[in-house]
Amino acid sequence: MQPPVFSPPVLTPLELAGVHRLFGPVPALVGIDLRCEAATLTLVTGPNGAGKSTLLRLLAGLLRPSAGTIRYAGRPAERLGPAPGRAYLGHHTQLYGDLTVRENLALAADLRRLPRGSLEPWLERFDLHAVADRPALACSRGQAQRAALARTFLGDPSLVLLDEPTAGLDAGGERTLRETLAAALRRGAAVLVATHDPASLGPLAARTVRLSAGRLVAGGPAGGAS
Amino acid sequence: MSGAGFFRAAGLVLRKDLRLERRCGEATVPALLFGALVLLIAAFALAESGNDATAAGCAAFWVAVGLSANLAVVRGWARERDDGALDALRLAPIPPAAVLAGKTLALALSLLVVEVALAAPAVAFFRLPAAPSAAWLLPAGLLATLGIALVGSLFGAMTVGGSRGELLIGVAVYPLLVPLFLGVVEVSRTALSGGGWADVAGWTLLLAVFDAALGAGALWLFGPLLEE
Repeated sequence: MQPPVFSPPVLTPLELAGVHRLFGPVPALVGIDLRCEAATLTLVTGPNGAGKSTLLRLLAGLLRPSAGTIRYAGRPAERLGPAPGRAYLGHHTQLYGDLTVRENLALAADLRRLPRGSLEPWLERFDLHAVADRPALACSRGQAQRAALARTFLGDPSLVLLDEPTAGLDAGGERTLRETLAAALRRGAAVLVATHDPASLGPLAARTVRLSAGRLVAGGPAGGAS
Repeated sequence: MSGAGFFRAAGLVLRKDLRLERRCGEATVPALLFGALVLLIAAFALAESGNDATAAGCAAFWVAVGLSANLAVVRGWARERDDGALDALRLAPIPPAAVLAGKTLALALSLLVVEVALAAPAVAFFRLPAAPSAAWLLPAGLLATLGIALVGSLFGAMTVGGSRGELLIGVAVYPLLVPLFLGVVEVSRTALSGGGWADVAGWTLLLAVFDAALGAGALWLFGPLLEE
């Protein structure tokens, strides 16, 4: 069963101009200029502490830039507010441990005003039916990550931001993630993935950018920025 | 977002918190046990002291509720911190104020459970009179509970972001709640001593104004407060 397709607001192209982010006196990102188009997957690579996670949290709207501008489809981020078309999965699964997997997904669907019927295809796609009625805290790391990914893709977001999404996934989980990302790209979604493992999702990437010490040091076609 | 959308979103957050609380009781149960302990200690210290036992009992009851609220606030927000769940709420297409409203109502319901459970021991320990006028305490009690929950939820959000957030509850929440505690203790004492509506109306109105001002400020502050 294929997950149904919804039509969230289109949030691309995504443009960052001169974006800085400080944590106290410490610069986490310095002068980032970046543009991401619809239907493209951009890999964000770099060593620990390079600013990858900060960049994704900024794009998700969970952090504000200290300076510079972020625009979604030409609109300043601060005027956009919470947008149903934007999905982010960071290092944490964002699941409530005492709710079941199904309840966690149902809560996300309700908050995004999606029909409850939209859950089942995602439970199936991410092979979650066996653990759907199990509390999230009783799931293995890989099962929880699959549940988190299913929740992230609920509602077919037009902008998908993933931070190390293959963490904890087995080979089957990685394959499902690749298939889901490929479907999202065909739909026209813009995808940014921060990763230490570019090989896993590299074949889908149109572009790889590299961060080092908060600066964008390389960017270009996939595989061209090492 | 429309008013209906706001209340729908707040209702979803409330339902989620109540479901979690029903399942594990991690906010209400420790708060209730702690409140009972405070009440017991206060009873030993104050009930036989020769002072006005009604006033002492009312003060002890609300001190117990206020202190136990601290536990409920911290646990209620810990579930948002665990595994980054608050990020999902912040990313949902709902206004931040709806999150505050839902969590405030959930906390207020937990506190009401604590208050109802502590009422009987308070009456027994302090031999509080069962005056018919005690009914006048209900509006003030509900307003005080809502106020405690509102301030607790507002500052509880700060416990999610940093390791020092819990400090703010002690430093900022209780001073802010002083007028509320003064009001509800006075209303409680007056109502249990046989006073009528005219005797408690002023304080009750003050509590309503206090809640309205707090609510307006909290709804305005909550969004920026969540930003990192």
